[in-house]
Amino acid sequence: MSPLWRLGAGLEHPEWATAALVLWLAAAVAVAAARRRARRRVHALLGPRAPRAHAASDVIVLVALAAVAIALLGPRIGTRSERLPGGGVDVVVLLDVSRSMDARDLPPSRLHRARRAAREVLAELRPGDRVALAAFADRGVLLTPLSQDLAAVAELVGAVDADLMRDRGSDLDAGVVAALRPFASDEDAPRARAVLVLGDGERSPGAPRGAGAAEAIRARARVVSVAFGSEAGAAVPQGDGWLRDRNGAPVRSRRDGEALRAIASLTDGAVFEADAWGEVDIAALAAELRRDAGGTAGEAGRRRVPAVRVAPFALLGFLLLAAELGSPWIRGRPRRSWARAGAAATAALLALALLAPGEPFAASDSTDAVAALEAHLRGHPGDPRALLALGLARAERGQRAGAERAFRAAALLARDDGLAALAYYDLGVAALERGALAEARDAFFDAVALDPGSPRALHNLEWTLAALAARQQAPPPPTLRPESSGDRGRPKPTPQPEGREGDRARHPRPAPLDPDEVRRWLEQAEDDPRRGLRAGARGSEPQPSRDPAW
Amino acid sequence: MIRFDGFGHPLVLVVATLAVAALVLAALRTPPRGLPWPALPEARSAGAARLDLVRGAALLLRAGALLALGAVLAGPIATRPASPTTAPGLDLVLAVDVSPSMRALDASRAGEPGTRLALAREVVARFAERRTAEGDRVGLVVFGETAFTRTPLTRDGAMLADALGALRAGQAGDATALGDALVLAVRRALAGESPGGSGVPREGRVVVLLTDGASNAGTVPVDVAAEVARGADVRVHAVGIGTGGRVPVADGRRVRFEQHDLDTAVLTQVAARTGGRAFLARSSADLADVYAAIDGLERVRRPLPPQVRRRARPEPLLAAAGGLLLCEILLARIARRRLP
Repeated sequence: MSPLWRLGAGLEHPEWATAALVLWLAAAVAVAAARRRARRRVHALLGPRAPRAHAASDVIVLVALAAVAIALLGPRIGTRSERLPGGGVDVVVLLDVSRSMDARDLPPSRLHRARRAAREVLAELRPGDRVALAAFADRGVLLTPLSQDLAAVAELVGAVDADLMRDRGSDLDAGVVAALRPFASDEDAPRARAVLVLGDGERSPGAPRGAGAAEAIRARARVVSVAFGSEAGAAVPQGDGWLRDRNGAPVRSRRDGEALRAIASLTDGAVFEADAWGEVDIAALAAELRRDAGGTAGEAGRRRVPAVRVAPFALLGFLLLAAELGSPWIRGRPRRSWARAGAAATAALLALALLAPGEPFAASDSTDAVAALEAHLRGHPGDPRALLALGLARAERGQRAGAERAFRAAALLARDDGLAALAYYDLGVAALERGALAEARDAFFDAVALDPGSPRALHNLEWTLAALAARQQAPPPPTLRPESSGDRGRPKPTPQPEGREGDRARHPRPAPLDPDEVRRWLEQAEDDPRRGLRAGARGSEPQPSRDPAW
Repeated sequence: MIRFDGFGHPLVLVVATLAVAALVLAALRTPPRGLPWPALPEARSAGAARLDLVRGAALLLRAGALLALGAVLAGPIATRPASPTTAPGLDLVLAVDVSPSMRALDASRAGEPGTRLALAREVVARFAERRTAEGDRVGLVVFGETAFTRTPLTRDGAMLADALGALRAGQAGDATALGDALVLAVRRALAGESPGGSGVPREGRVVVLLTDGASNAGTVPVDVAAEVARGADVRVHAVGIGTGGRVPVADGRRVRFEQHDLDTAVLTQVAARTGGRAFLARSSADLADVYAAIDGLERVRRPLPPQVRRRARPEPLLAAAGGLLLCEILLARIARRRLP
């Protein structure tokens, strides 16, 4: 069975299926009973001369009702490709912290190796990608929301330990469902989504199956897994000894890729297996996670999603009901003119349905910041803020020429010097990105002239002048590393000359720190991620409030 | 909020409406089938007319169902607000003191006495949800004797509210490491400067520090932490909470009185050095006002059109078509079925 076929099978609203089926069956039974009663009455009145009652009308209406019900449930038939405007990927790292992850067939433990792999993968992600952290054992828990602060999440990953959960069974589906929570509020967001499961695949006996895959398909998230552990397996440590079964024999835990493969197959995901040393092909794993996201920052991506085919069933229902209404052999002989008009219009509708490309008449999903801003500008031509935002949106999508046009228009149309300076600054960064140093220099000059206090414009101007000088003297020039598409070319923070408050003089001012000292203090800032994780794990449990109620 | 935003193929709706109108007219002009009755033609020729309400209602229901299905075929589109991806925004880190003194019972919620922390949870959660909904990113750092990151910068307001709701006094130790917390909060606020940066233009970075005591633990002096924030271009708004002096403190089911003093001078100094403001909230109403004031201070101009997400949404129309059809079946084929 093709994975894509399975991805595109099922219903969009399975929760309504029982109610729809019960209603349809009740209607069918009631119609059949009413029909039998009517036939008995006619026979009682007319005896053998009773006309024969046609069942076609009832059958057609009931079939039409069934078609409408199926359309309402949202049948998924096949898949379709969906465009994702450039914006990276959302990844939820789901760590298995069940007891079997303490096994030492991958020294020092499977969990240790899984944590390391997670941190290495995070280092491979790109600006604009977002990451959340979740864990599961007997239950699943979301530990952090989606964040672009990959460094903070990496620190938290390192702090996930075996004590995070009290009960340490293994329920993969509960974990996947918890990991999908960040996607619940915005189910159709146009971003690539993935859940990265790092575990050994073992499940507690009796743990429910199937819910994770169903929820992942609904959330448009792929499940990519890495299986840790060995085929031979290992005993599971417990206290000073080993975990033992009822007979006193040590429990042996083995890598079980079946469950991971099943959920990956259903969600168009993938499974990787750690080797005997616990090593994983991190580059391939990161590429798999980013498969649906754009190749470079701002480049649009695509993903396969289930195609929900509503229109064919709605069309079938419409045609059946129209035919039943206009059919002379069911309803009697109508006036020809109106019947012909009705038939012609219905035929026209059918023709439209058959000739429409793709899913007939279904409006497609779309979210496009560029399109929204362009639409806004059609209504408000010359809005400099919208032009600036349009430039940024185009730059994120890799449309450099369009971005520069928007920045230039914003700079010329802005009445506010600060806004014009910002537009010139962005214009300069765009010029730098395509290597036009002279144009960048001019733009940064304009930005500084309009806003002399802008440290980032000054910084980039100085850098550009130095690069121009270096180019004239000795090629190649140094490379500028724009930090992100939105924060493009922003220099490292520099101390502000003055704050806003005028009452600083009342307080003795210690010696200002230079940027290196600031960086050192920040690097040394002590975090206690284990406390953060425990707070997250406990926060998901229902707990009585310790605050007294008065 | 979901809003209807027209049809993808309005021509289909026009054609479907014409078809329905023609079919209904044809059905109205068609004499209904019935049993032959000897005197009926004579009665009709004499001008007798019978108002057939059931037939009229059934036709109306059928027409409604057909129109709803026609509208489904026309591709109804709904829009709803999408989280902004290119809007300017702030990076806000909320640093919240959870030292045991936050159990002091000098705050109130809805007229009922409560702990400082309970009040702070409520007010700060509202603030966080409002700011994330507007496009800012908000993080949460919790501190006591140590400081830890509870949530990195995020736009997930619901999860932030959950995290704030789960805060417990004393969960970060029994002292107050103000300097450590401030440096950690600044580090989290600078996430956009890291290699895994923001991808969205940031208009500023702000820390809102909420505490009810004086710094008495940690490795970073508060004045150094303030200089780090200043050097990193992060504004710090400092919020002191509590009435000070001897205050009742909840201890299990008992209450005891303890001396707790707020170091307002340090808070003022931190705020002044970093370009922020210091606030003092002596009462529960004060705290809500303080966060409202910070909300007003840290505004980003967002004159851009709100981004919306458009998607096909046929479910309400399909439900209407199904419901109308069921009503027609119930009326004309079950309850008031015609003979034959």
